[in-house]
Amino acid sequence: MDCRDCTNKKCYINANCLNSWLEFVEKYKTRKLISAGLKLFSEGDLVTGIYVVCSGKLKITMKTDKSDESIIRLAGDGQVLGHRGISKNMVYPISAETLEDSELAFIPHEEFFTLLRQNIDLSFYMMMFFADELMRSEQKLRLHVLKSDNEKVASSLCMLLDTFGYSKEELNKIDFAMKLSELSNFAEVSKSVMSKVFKYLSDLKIIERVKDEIYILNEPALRKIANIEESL
Amino acid sequence: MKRLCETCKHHNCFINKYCSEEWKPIITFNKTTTDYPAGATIFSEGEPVRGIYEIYYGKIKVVSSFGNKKDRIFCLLSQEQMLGFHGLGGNMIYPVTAITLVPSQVTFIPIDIFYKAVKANPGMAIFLMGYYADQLRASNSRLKMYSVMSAKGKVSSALITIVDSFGFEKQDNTLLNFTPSRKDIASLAGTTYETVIRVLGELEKENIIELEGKSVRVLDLHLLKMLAEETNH
Repeated sequence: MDCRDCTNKKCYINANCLNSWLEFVEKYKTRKLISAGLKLFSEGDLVTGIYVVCSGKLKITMKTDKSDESIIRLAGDGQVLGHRGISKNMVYPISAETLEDSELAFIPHEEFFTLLRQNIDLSFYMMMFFADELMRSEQKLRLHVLKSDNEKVASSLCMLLDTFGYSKEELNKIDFAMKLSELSNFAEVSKSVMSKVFKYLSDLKIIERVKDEIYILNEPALRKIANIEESL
Repeated sequence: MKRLCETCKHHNCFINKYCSEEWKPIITFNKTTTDYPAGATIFSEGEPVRGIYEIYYGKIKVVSSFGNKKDRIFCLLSQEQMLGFHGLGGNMIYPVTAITLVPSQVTFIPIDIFYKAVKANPGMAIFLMGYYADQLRASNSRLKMYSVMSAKGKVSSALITIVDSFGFEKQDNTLLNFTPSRKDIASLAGTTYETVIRVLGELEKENIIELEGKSVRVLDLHLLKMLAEETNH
């Protein structure tokens, strides 16, 4: 996708940069097309820039143990990716893997910082974005420490909804079908607990699950269970 | 008499560092400064965010109540550091509580002025972005810490956080400049009081630290760091 006539208004670059600067982005970005299930970068890799998810979906994981990988974030259309790499020690503390075929744009550090300096909306956006991410990360921490199984599943569904939103084609459907194993990893519960909570929520007519697709029938009730404040 | 940002000698303060000379008088005009005794609450979990704080002097812990369970310390802050940044973003409600550990003087800048300052000073926005990036990283490693670390790793990591936050005594460069109570160390490490006592004893036996009453002296910072990162396993 050429940045100059990109129609993805959700893209943080497109939404926050002056038109004259989109040309600059177009000139320096690298376009990457990656099929589903591949690693974009891994924990420990050197950071050389930042990514934009042009289209597609990715999961961000962190090794919590030698064998365990825990999903700490999901990223969709127009979102920032690889921002956890921005820091003094320039290696990624996390890995990113595609969940479906995705198009990404890579902007090298130097050009990204030029962009930040010249587009105050972008630097302000990035600051608030990080503030949000920090809050979400702390929420995840709480989730980990003290929530009940129902709360864990409900809040992970809310996070899923906040990231991907509803499908355009079908009413109430979350715009992404995730495997049960991955969902349970994200919610930090076991698969069997996940199924149990799904059944509980379905009985209450809060959600409905058809194969891997999830329909949210009663969003306020779900958020109430999740007990996290509506973000964004 | 209000202190002027224009002539302030605190050069590590982000206002001083990243605000243009034209902007400093605006900050001076809008800020308010308050003196707090030790143990005072500056803002509490659940309160709406009205602005941002800057510590002129003192030491502050930022805690989260974690429901009804034990408090967890998120970070320790001291002189010339920003406070209240946890509340920014999302729904603009503080997810944490800030409590002074020693008598402190704290400056408050209203949120609208802060936003304007950020928008008018690109260097500040970039600095804040980097600052948040570091905080995010710290938050991630806490996640890791709570889930997989051994008790020894947790306590060592808490000690390293204290070193990073407050440093050592100026005249005595192995003695911690400020040692929080054992209870605070426990909530920083995400473990219990008893475990902290036990691990501190272990570390002393291994000549990594030395306990001097309430204070802690670090004898082998390198080894302590290794334990904190659990690289020796």
